[in-house]
Amino acid sequence: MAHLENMRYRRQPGAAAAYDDATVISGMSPSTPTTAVDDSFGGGDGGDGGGGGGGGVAGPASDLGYSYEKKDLDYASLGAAGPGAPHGAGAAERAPRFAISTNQWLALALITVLAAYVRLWRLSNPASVVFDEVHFGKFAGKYINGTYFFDVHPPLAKMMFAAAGRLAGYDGVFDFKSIGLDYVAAGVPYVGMRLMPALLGLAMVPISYVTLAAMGHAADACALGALLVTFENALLTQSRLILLDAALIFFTGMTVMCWALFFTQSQRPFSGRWWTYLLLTGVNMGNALSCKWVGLFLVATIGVWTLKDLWERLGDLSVSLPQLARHFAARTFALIVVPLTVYLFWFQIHFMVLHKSGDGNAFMSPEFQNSLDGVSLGHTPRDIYYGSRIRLRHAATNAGYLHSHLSNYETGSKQQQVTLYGFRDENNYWVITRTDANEQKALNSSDPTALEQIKDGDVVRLMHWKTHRRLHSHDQRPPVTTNDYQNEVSGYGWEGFKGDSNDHWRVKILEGDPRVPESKDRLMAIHSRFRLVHVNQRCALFSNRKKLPKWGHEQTEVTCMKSAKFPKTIWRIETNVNEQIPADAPLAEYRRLGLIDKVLEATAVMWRVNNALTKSHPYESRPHTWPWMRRGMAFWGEDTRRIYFLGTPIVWWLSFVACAAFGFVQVVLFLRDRRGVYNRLMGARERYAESVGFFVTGWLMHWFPFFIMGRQLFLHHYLPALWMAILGFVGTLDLFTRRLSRKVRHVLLFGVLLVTVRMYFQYSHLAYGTTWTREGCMSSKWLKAWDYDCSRYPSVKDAPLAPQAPAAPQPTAAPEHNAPPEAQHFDPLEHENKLNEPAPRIDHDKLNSNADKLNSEMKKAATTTKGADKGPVPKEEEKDENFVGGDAGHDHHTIAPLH
Amino acid sequence: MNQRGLGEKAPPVFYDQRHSGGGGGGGGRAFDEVHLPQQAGGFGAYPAAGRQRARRGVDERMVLLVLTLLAAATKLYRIGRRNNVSWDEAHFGKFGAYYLNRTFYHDVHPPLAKMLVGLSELLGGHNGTFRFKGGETYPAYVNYTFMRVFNAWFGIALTPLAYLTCRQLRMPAAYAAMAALFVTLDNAICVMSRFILLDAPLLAFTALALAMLARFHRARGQPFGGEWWRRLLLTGLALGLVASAKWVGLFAVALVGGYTIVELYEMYCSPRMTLGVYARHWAARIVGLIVVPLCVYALCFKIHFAVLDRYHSSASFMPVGFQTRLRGSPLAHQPYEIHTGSAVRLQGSHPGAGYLHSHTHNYPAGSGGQQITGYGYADPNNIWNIQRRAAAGSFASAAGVSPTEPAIDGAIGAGDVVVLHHNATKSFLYTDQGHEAPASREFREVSAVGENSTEAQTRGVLWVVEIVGAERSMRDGGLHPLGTPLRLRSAGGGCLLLSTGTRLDKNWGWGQAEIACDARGDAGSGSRYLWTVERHINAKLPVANLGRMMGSSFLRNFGVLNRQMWLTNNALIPDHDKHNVLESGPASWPFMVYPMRMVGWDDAGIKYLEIGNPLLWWGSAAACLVFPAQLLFWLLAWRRRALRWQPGRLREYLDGALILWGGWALHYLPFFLMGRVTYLHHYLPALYFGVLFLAYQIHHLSAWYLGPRTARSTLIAATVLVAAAFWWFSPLTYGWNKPIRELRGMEWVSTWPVYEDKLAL
Repeated sequence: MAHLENMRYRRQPGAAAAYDDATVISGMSPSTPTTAVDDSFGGGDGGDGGGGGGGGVAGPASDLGYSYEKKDLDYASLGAAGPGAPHGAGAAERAPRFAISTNQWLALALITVLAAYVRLWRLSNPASVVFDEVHFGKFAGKYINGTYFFDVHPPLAKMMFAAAGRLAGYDGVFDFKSIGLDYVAAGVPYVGMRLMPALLGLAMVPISYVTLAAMGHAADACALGALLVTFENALLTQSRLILLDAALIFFTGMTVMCWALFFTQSQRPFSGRWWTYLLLTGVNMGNALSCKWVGLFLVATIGVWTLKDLWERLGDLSVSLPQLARHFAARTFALIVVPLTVYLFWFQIHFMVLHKSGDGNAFMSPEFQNSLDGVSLGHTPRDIYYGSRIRLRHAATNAGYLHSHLSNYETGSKQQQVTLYGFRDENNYWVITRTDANEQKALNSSDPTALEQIKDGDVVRLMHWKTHRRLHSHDQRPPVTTNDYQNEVSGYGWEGFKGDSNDHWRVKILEGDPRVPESKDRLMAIHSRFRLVHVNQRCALFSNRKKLPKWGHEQTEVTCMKSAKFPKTIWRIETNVNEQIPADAPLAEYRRLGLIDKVLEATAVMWRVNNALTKSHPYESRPHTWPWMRRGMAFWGEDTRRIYFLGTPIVWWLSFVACAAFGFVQVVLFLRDRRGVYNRLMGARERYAESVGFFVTGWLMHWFPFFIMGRQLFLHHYLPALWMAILGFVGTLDLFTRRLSRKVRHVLLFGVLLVTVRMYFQYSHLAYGTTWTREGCMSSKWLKAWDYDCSRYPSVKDAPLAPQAPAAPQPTAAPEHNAPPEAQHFDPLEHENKLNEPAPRIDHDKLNSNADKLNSEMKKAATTTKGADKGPVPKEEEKDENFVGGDAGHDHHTIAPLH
Repeated sequence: MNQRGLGEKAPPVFYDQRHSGGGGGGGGRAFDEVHLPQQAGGFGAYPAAGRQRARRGVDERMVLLVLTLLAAATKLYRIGRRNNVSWDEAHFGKFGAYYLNRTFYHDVHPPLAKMLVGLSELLGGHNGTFRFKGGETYPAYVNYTFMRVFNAWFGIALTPLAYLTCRQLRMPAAYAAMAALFVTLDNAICVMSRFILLDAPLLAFTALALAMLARFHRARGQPFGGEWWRRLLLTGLALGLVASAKWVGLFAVALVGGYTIVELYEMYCSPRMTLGVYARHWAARIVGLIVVPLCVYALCFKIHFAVLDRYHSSASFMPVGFQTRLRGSPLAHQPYEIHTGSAVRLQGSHPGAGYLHSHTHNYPAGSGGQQITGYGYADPNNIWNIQRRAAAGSFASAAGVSPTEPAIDGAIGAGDVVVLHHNATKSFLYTDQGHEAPASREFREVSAVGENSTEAQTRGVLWVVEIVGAERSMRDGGLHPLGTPLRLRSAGGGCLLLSTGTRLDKNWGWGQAEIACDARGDAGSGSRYLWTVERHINAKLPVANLGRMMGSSFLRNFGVLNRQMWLTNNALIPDHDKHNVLESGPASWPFMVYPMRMVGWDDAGIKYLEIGNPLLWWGSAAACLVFPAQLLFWLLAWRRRALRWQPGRLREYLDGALILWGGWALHYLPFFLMGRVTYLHHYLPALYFGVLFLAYQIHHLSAWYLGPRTARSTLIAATVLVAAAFWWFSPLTYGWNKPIRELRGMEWVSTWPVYEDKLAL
């Protein structure tokens, strides 16, 4: 608490004049010591308690320490009050309005034209697929086709590409399958698609300018900031390709700009402009969040600054509590409710556009899939009777149906495999039957053929319909999961075999459907969520996204787990076939999902998959290497041209230094304040904390959270932070050169600009994908890990004037010991797909050549299976051949009972 | 007397200084009127420090004595009733016995508390032979009752420590007694103190650290006085003890550390503080709170190593110097000189490198040759036959050595060129540097080639022995077991054999460690390149005692053991899909959702349930969870300049509250970050802080808001209710040997496993 008492050191002469509360402060200080702090240090003399008598003007008000030194800060020329000005009602008249002069507008227009040239030059180069265009081009196509897909990012930026593609005439046929595919030959209007991010990237130039101006920076500094952004190669590279980051950065920039403009209105709270800027901040924040979840860092930045602002208002006693409450409510609405609404809105559009079934189905719950055209799951007789033929769906993973087929485990008992399989085929059918004892009882009863419904707690057996094996478990370890509390689950028995007690499973219904309350007590298709508990082993049927090896056709492992927690042991019946049920028996259907349900589900799946992206990638990097740009990323390469993602070094390094310096200076200032030494930093201290402080907060919030992320990370994740850092650097440079003579200041600013432009030209070959000289390339490798391949560029000595010549392979003496991997297409979903998508599809028609049975089955289930089998194309046909083994009818299999 | 009457309240002071310019300022009234009484009342308000001692001399000793006797009664009642090895006695009794039979063992906890168990076994007359198998009946020669009583005294000590702590935090005697009774009457603390476990010593040392901190806090007005130094050093000593009992004790260290940082910060802000004095403050704390605890901690390990001097295979991760000095170590007796024809087992010095290994499986890519891996377990495939081919002197002159040259008999030393012949597969260790290593692309592949293959005729099978950093006693240039770490440099290409630290693919490489050759120019520093002849077999040579020759550094052993404890601890990761009746997550602890059965639950057996006193658990949880909201509210009120306190009063209240609440938070919240399995009793240290904080809050809230009579009634009612709850659940604390259904009314919450195991299938 001691810092409270030391507040007095921070108050300065001059501040009081600008501050309405001065009378209040002095009025209460002499007689009643206001601090709550008992100064008990320093030899135990308690006499100084209470903040040292009359001099101790303490309390929160002085914490604000407002001091407007207009002469020092040269605000008059800017006409900007900037954020952090007094909030008192009377301040409005005195504070000048924020405005940008005509000259400034002209300068800005010039810079923007220049930037347009820099950013749009040779946008059509290269005319082939670059880096992650593989994904985002493909996704744009899916929007145009309307087929549902799954991606770890929210939809907005991708939909913008789809819109751009649509406008440019892209028909959604080209599939962007791999890096280097030719656009021109395929007739893809890729320039139109690239124009969208390029224009958004271009917009960052005026956005940077206006943001700096609104933060109270001088015109020349604003221009410098806009130019640094223009000539920053990483921002440039990333915004010329079909990648999400340009849209994310654009909305981040818009948010920050609106936020800065909002603060220019802080003396006129609740005015029209005030509301406009506040709401625009919220809308843009929602848009950023709808591009990538990195937008959450932006939310955190704005949130921190909002709290800081409210804290200052709280200490301003001229603002009444109801006013404070209004401030609080306005911000809650604009910065929480509005962004969430925007997020939901884009998802609504997303779901409306993607209305057809597609390869994203497999990630989603059956309820969700049912909302897509071409999918019709459920609609099955509701009540389950003994003798019903059922299809069981694993509820937690969407990995598919309980499945068995004519091949055996190669481990453990070597009995028939039981798996989860993502496609619907007749090998998913199980007949639910009584145990032998119950069967006898039923036979001896008065009406042996009567239908009997299955109730909670019943002991049942499940017989695989095609192969007549029964679902079986025993004290054997499963093939993949080998914990001692997991049992293997197999298909065991043969036609005519009576079975044994290891086939007994108890149905334990955990949850019914509120729409049909009886489904808690009696087993019902779709409504009942239940476990199957093995009676002898006291374990529950379980699955956990583990793939079986090749001999298991890479289907998902099913085990029986003791003491399992609930979620992954829950099953539902999706299809129920029973000839004895009357046609008008009640049907069961999946619940219809509302927008919120769908967004929540999609968000949960995105979160899970995002966290599972832990596979290593040749170009991944950890966050601590970003600020000094240890290593870039190879995006694309062809002959003598390559695109390598690398920033303009000076901009990265200086911006990082400025941010680090800010932190250092603040710590030093803090410690000096505590000792009663108040530094005013050439009169720039307040502005430094308000303006650069905001950018550094944003930089930190966009950088630091990556340290705790386990997933794979790339250099371009640093770009939003980089933009904040650039503005922070320009702000610092502006504030601390104001006391210098005009000449020196301009030399400094121009110096920075010139070096930047020089480096921009030097590295622009890598950004635009134009050819270079080998010597120029080699001499530009300032850091060891910058691993772009120079050997393919023509040497000045070899062929000075013939860039087309050096197609011939270079001498093998490669300059690097280990040649860096070339541009690699990396599919972030590949790994997860392997876990989530159905296993390679097996042609079970061949396996079980009983065509009659199949046909009748297909007729029966025609209503339910329509269209659902349009899953992904089989990946490897030859695998099926291996599996079938050429001559493998199911007669050929020897059935060797082990128990 | 400074005392005011019971609960005499000062007239409320309203903050009524209105000011203009706010517009509608009247609306802020409710908020602007937050105030708290200036003068706390209660059973004799805060005693002044000086007067306290005199008053305690008269009556407080009796209070302490009575409380302690009561605590002894609750902890010792029928303590020897269950004569089986109960709950984790199976572990800790066994660990204690190791100190008697002096066999080395490895465990995740530091040794102090287990050494105390060992001491109790020694005093109880046990000879160290009983194995403490879970559920076994204690034989006559194990005086388990004495051991349990010995351990229970730590639990008993909590009561007087709690009382003293509260007095130091300026709570009146009546409330301090209430707090002490709370600590006494918690069923969970009680039942965990009644068996041979580490929880009671841990709790006692934690309570000791808190009491010492509170005393030190009271002495802060007289820095550098004798009393001040004594209290500072005692605090450090207590921290050393608590950290040596279990690593959870580090949270107590964090509490004292946080307190110290705040204290030093405040001194820094104090304008009267001079640099010299300030530096002395820092120095004193570094000595008292860092050096002293570290010394205590290290001393515990020193004793641990001194007592456990018999070899056991669990010592295999320790430095070889340590292992060979253990009695009965199989490493200690080996032939000293390594000759051509010796069979050797090479161990990588890098953690996890294992033994140099080969087996009849090939690489799937690269050369497709036979795999060379690092394997962690003893296996015939780890044995290599070493043969000297020439004395090269230096790598450059090895050019003259031919691979087909016959082996030269005699001792092998630094600079010699050797071949390593794998006995089991009749092949040679080989590299031609022609392929990338299977997992690490920056290195070259190493493989094994058959005796008669063409590769075996090339220089790829020749390796130059380089000895690096040999033991002082073995620096004679020769190659010896254990004491002469070596590098193997390929005579063919000059690359260095290393363990890359990467694991091979499970499917073809069995998850074993990757072994490769580093051809980079600057290779060679670091343990990845170092190998040790860990086993040497040669029937022709005499056996020497290497234990005498090997040095062993305490600091190194200490470091290695602590690192291994950390790794073992982190490996205790639960399966998130599995219920374990014994495990529970930290989120459930304050609410006591899952009490835990400590023993089997059959009708005739004596059943103990680890269940706390619900009133205390829930009460302390409420107090601790509400406190941040209270702080936030005050902070906002302070910001509005609406918080009126008498000078010093708020500070005094907050000092105590933050110490107790901070202790609770620091002993509780870090568990959320831990990946390892957690148990209900991990909450007990936090509970101790929480219970004291509950008493602290009851005292202050009574003083602020209640009249003297109501305050007294509240105090009595709280104590009586807690005692009643303790009594209600005491059958489960002292053991219930009848069918559990006969014990009614125990299942207050539906998740409690009193009558049935809710999670069983």
